[in-house]
This record gives sequence, C-alpha cells and structure tokens, in this order.
Amino acid sequence: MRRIACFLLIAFVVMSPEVVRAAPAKGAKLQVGKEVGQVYPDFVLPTVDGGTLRLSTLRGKKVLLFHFASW
Amino acid sequence: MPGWQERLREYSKAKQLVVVGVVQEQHPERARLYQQWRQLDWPLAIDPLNQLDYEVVPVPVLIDEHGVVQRVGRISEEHLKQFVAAETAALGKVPRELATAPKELPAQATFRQTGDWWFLWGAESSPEAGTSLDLAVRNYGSAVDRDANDARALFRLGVALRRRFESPQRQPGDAQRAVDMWQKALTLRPSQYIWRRRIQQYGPLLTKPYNFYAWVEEARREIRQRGETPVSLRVEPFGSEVIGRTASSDFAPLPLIDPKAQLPTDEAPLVRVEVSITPPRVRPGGRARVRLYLDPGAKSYWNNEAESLSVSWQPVDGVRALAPAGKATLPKEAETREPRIREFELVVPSAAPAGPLVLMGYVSYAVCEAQGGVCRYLRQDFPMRIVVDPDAQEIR
Repeated sequence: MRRIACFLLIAFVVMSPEVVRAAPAKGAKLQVGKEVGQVYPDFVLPTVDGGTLRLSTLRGKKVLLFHFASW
Repeated sequence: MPGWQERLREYSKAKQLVVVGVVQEQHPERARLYQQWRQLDWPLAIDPLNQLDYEVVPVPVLIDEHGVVQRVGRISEEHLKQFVAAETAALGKVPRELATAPKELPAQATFRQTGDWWFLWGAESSPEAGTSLDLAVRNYGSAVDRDANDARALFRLGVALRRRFESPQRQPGDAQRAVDMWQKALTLRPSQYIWRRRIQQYGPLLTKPYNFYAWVEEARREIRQRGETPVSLRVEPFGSEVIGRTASSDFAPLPLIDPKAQLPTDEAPLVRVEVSITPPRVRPGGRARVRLYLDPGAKSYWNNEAESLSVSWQPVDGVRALAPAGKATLPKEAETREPRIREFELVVPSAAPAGPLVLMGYVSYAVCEAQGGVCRYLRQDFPMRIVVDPDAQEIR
C-alpha cells in the first residue's frame, strides 16, 4: 500500500479513455455517497499544517480528492 | 515527471482544478514529514479516525462543481482532460478559506460523534472533566457499551487510547487496550485493511506485509540534501514500525538473565513498565509481539555505565520467546532518563488449548534513584496475557 502511495497518483494508470459524466435529470434528488453520480459526503477534517478542510467549501470548483496512506 | 503530474500542476495553476489530499495516518507530524518530502503543494487533510470509512487506499475521486462524483479509482490523463474541459452550470462565489474548525458539537450528537469531536477539535478541558483525549475515550467507550458491535467506535476508541498513551496524560493499560479494541473492530470487519494495518504496525514481524516507516529516514536524508530542515516527529517510529517482514531464522531465543530470581526487585518501582501485546488473541501456532515501554519517570535515571537493560522471561513448555538479533545502543551520557522501548515475540504451540495463557516476563536494569544518587541493578516482573483462540482473526 505504501509503495503505491509513495509515488502519489500512480493510480492514474491509463485505462479506458472514456469518462462517464454523471448528469442527473433536472429536479432529480441526488443521493449522498461515494459512488459515481452521488453527491460526495461533506466532511470536515484537520489539515496537517494546523488548518481545517471542509469539502463543501470547494463547491463551484472541480476537485481531485486523493485518499492515500503515508505508510 | 509523468505527464499527468505536469497536467495536475497546470490545471491547478490555471484554477481549473483543486487537488486535495486526505491521508490515513494517526500521527499528524508523520503526515507533515511525508508532505514535505514529496513536496506536495496542495492541502492535505488527515483522517486518523478513518471517518471517511475507506477500507483500502489509494483512491482518487473526481468531484464536479456541484459536489457530484464523476469518477472513482483509476484516472488517466485523458479522464482529467475531459473532466476539466466539461462545462457545468455557473455557481456562486467560492469562499477563500477552506474552513474553520467546528467550535461546537453537532446537535443531538451520538456518543461516537461526540468522541470524534473531542478527538479532532476539543481543546484541553477542565481538570474535573479530564483532557479532550479522556473525553474522546469516554464517549467512544459509551458508544461501545451501548453497542458492542459498533466496529467504528471500537476502532476509534483504539485510536484515542493509542494517542493518549503517546501523550503525557497516558494511563496504565492504554497501549494494550488500544490493540484490544483494534482487534475486536477487525474481527467485526475483516475486510478493513486500514484498520488491519494499524495492528500490523505494532505486530509480529512475520505477519507484516512490508516496512511501514522505512521512508522516514529516506525522507529526512533527501530533505536535508535539499537544504531544508525535516519536520520533527513527536512520536518516533520504533521497532516493529520500522522493521520489515523478517525471516524466522533471524530470531534468537530470549536469554535467561536471572532464572533463579536472585536480583532484587524494583519495589518502588523506579521504572514504570507498560506492556502491550499485539495481537492479544492468537490462533494455536500463532505469534504475538510484546512491546515494553519503560519509563524512569520524573525522578529516576538509567545508569548507562553499568549493565544495560535486559529482557527475559520464565520459560513455559512449548511456548517460545524470540527476539531479533542486534543490541540497542545506549546514550553516551552516564545518566539519562529517556523512555525506552524493547520488543520480542511469543510463539504459541500448535497444540495449545484454547483459553487464556498467562506468561511472566521480567526486565533487569541499572537505575539510579536520582541524578548522582544511589544506583542499583534491579529486576521487575510483568505478566503477559494472551488468549489462544482457534477462531482469532489472522492478522496477515
């Protein structure tokens, strides 16, 4: 696991070039979840430099959220 | 540099994409050192409690302007290009600040949520209520009392106990209770590899998939070569944390230092011994790693001019006590008072009956009652409690 995390984003291996863009119908209620087409659950966590990160403050921006481990 | 890494920088610079990291790590300074080493120039959040509930990492996620997940898992340069280029409806102004820490608990918070709040955001509390870590431990404990199968509360209780053990507020038994909780949590959710790694971090060398913190020394070296000062660590990785999977031939039986118990016992005691065994439940034929945390406290001193600290045990038929080859180096000063850690492993016989197994270990050391005071060579015995359980979760 660490070896992969060491070289961050090495998971970006070229696979299928297709991007399936989830486009919910107007007025459709989106579910909260971590799957494609769902609204990613909001979270608030401390940052390593003593700050705070709340995901919802990034609304309006395109985000690459990268989960990894340092070990 | 791979093309996608260049693209990421370009997109970030052009404000077309925000890159945010979330690292699974229980020691914030280790995450900071990692960030410094890898020169990560994007915000890095830390998720010590595994609140986002991933079972394995790494997992990259592309999220659009509306907060909707567009892709999870492997992402190519082409994916990124299309994601950044896609048009979406205009949204309102985005706040400049990423956020401020929550000042208050959410209304009607559960015990687990209350534990999370105290662990992540709680300031030091009153002497009557205890520290924020005490309150986290207490609330996670209440969650577990209500539902003994609340695996997340069990894992987080383990994290809070471990954090308290590594703080000046440590209480006797914290280190062992942390591992106990992690093993219970993993038994309930064996597919949780992030939790599993937490046990392996302190567990037997033969069950480790790799060396978890070998990168720390490499990082420090490279950071210094760049002319920078590496982030200092509050808790230095030690023993099983910085040793990789080790062949069984590299272990030697633990020496028998004082088999007839002739050394005087440290009655005071001048050194506090904290024992933790990982994992506490083992299958017949399995291994457990014993970690001793030896603290001379505020008054006593190690006598480094006399015989060094030794670890031994009272042998029991069929059980083996093994230590990797090598000897710890002592400080150059004649008297020091740093806490010391020693580790060894117990191998339970394949024919061991199910049930509790209590073994006795002991440490012998030269200790002085005060700086320049009377120094003696003493012995302290400690029990090692493990449970032989044929159904125990294998920590591999």
